[in-house]
Amino acid sequence: MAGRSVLRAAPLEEPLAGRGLSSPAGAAPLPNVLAAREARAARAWWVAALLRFSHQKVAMTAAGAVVLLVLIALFAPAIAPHDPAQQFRRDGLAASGLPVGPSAKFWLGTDGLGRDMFSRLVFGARISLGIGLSASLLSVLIGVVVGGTAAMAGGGIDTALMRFVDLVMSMPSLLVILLFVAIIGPSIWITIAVIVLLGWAYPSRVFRAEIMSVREREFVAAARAIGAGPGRIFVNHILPQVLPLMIVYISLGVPNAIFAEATLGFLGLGVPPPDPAWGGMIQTGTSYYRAAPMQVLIPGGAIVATVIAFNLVGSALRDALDPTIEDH
Amino acid sequence: MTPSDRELTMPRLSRTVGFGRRAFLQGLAVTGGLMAIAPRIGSQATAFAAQTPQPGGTYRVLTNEQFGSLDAARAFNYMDWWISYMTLYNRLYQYDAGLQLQADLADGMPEVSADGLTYTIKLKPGVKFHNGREMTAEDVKFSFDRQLWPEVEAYGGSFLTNVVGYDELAGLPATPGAAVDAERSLTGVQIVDPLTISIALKQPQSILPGVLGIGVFGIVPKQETLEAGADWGTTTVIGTGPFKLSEWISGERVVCDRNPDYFHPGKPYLDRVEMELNVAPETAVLRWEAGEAEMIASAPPAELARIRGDATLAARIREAPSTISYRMQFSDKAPLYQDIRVRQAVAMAIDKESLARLSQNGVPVDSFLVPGIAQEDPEFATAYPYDPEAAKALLAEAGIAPGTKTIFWSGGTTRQLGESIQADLQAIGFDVELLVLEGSSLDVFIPRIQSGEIPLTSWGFGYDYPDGSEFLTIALQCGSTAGQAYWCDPAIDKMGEEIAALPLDDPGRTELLREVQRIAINEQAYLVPLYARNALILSQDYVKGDQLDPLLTLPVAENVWLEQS
Repeated sequence: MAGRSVLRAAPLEEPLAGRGLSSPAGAAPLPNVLAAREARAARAWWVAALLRFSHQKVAMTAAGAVVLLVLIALFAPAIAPHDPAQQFRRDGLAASGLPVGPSAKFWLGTDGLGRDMFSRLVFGARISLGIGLSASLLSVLIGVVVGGTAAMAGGGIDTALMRFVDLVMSMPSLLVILLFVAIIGPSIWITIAVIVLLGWAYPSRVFRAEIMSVREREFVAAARAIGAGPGRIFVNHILPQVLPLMIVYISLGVPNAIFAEATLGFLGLGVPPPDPAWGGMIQTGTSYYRAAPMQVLIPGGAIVATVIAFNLVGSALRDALDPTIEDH
Repeated sequence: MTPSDRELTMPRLSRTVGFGRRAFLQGLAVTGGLMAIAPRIGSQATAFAAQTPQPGGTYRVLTNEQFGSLDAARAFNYMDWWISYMTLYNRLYQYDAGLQLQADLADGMPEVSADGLTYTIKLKPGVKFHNGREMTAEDVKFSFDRQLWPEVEAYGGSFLTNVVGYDELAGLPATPGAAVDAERSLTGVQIVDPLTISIALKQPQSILPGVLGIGVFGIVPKQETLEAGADWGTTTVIGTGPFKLSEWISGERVVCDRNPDYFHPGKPYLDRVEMELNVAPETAVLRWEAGEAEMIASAPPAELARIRGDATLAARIREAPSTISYRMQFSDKAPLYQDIRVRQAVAMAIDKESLARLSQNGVPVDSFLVPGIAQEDPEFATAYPYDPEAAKALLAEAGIAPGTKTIFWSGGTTRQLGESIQADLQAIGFDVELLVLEGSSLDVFIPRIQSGEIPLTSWGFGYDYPDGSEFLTIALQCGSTAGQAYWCDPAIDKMGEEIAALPLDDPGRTELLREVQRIAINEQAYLVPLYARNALILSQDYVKGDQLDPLLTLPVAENVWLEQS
């Protein structure tokens, strides 16, 4: 796992680096010279990482796309020309009952109910990105807590937690997700919950391994020697070390969560109508795949573009935060 | 295609929980059709024929369904029902293309006693089952008796409630396995002689011969059925029909071959009917275009729009009016809909034109006595035409605040039509949670509907016999075992009893049914008719004689023939 090397090669030794990383802007000044040095060093480390990132043209383009998507999602009401749920029954459907193509009024045409595709796409970005980001963030947070607890506690707790993780990972995810949604009923929150429910297990393994390696480092031993408890060590000394890895995993988790949402939507169990979500748009568009292929291609293209952009950003971040890769 | 078109079966629920099982499923599985200008039922038959039918050939059918039994009493869905109804079995009576009742296995119309309580039915002599044995009155009585045996899981029992002896047999405990107790006999059905049966009724019921024409009453051989036990309907399938079952690989295909001993002289024309199961509707359309099928009954609306736009393909569409219509109903248990003004507002909110257009083969209707039904009232119009502004005003008058939440279950309509209705209701101020059947079992919804938790529902209904009284017993009369929410109105109930007793040709019967309709739709707004649907299949140029049966909405297999080039 490339992520692991990120931290082994971290340029600063704790406790200096740890403090600094936890507040990258040096926002938590220490009352001595060491603290100032630490903050400067940490800032330098982040600046170097950002520089490495900015040298990758593809990654910068992808990052631009991600920023654009986020802006579209944030300002959807201002961008969308129509209410995404409004059905234009007179001019939004052809006499045959089929959707109409792009026009000045409907930039990307309409869907099978005469709703504006562009407006639905724009509002769909809110839901897809919202679900993607929140589900990924929660999965990684839970993964860190579980992995961290296992690594710090060791012994029986470690074994029990990791066997539980094995159990979660061995479940056929789609079936479990379908089961939950079928029992509880589809909603945005259930969609996020089920993605998180199965999404935290893999990160928890990664972070357990990472934290176990960090735990053995000298600065942790030093902290322990001056009487710091496990909680304090975890929060103040270990967490800052795994922060870059968390960022990488969050960005790599977003595409998975968006895919999961799209799958649920495609199976008719995603976000309930009339709220537009990309997966659901593909689902309703499927029956038009020959009569009006844009019904599938437009939301499908949006999902593909978003997933590629997040994947590129994620992998570039991983490289950028790993100084050993810079040399290659 | 969406999971919606996948086999939305509701085995075991059917008639016993009461609504038009068949129509309900059809509503989801099938679409297509010419809006408006469809010929009236009865006139379509003359357009065909003229040529001399040619024997031979294989009729290939593609369907997205799969099914569990080909027992006439258990074929619940759409295509298994077609196989059972149209190829394997016959009934005592059958409606023809003009919706006139004709004797089939019966030898002429029944003899009715003066009090209207006893029907004596003679059987055609010399009718042979597929195994060569001649059919007798024993087989006919057995075919009725077993409708009430729990292990048969038939839905015919709910049509026999008026037969003497029903109460004694109803609610029998299920016997384990297929152990059959020959004592479980419907005492009202008696064998007079080997070719005559009599049916005794509790109350006069003039529509009885029509009821006996329903597919579930296909006549099965007694001895062979009992011997087959649990294999009956799967590996052992024997009827009197024009085709006999040759092969059935569950989930894959069904093959039926010509019955050379069929009792309709000269029929059937086809050598073989082959049905491929579990074919996705989109795939089926592709294969139909490639010439790999003679019939598809489930083209997605979007594909249909495309096919209609292509003159060559459009010529292969067979379309005819059906008796299938869709409606919305209110729960009588939901407080929100106790106020008639709220029901009226909902009725005025629905854009039926749009629904009909989206369905690709619908016509807006105000009535449940649809064209083809004897009591159709061409003069009838709803008192609540589409008027969202008036609907809003009514809601305000009723003190319903904008944003009031309600749940709508789009059971009889597709997700797309459900979203159209949702938008209509949102437009008058409701906050509507839309539930669709897709991907879920009906059993999940029924208790929620019955409790009033889901107060608004949509249903499809197709007549099993072309008489308005059927709708009454299923959707409007008190004490019906229907799974849908409905209002128990004593006035309607009383009229229902009168209707059942009057002879079919009594003008008073028609008047009463129309009066029920007026009360249910206009006076009390218990339900909102939405649109009626044409029957539609995709056929081929060389397929002849496949005009659609108005009740079944599919071709009559024994009349179909292929023009050889």
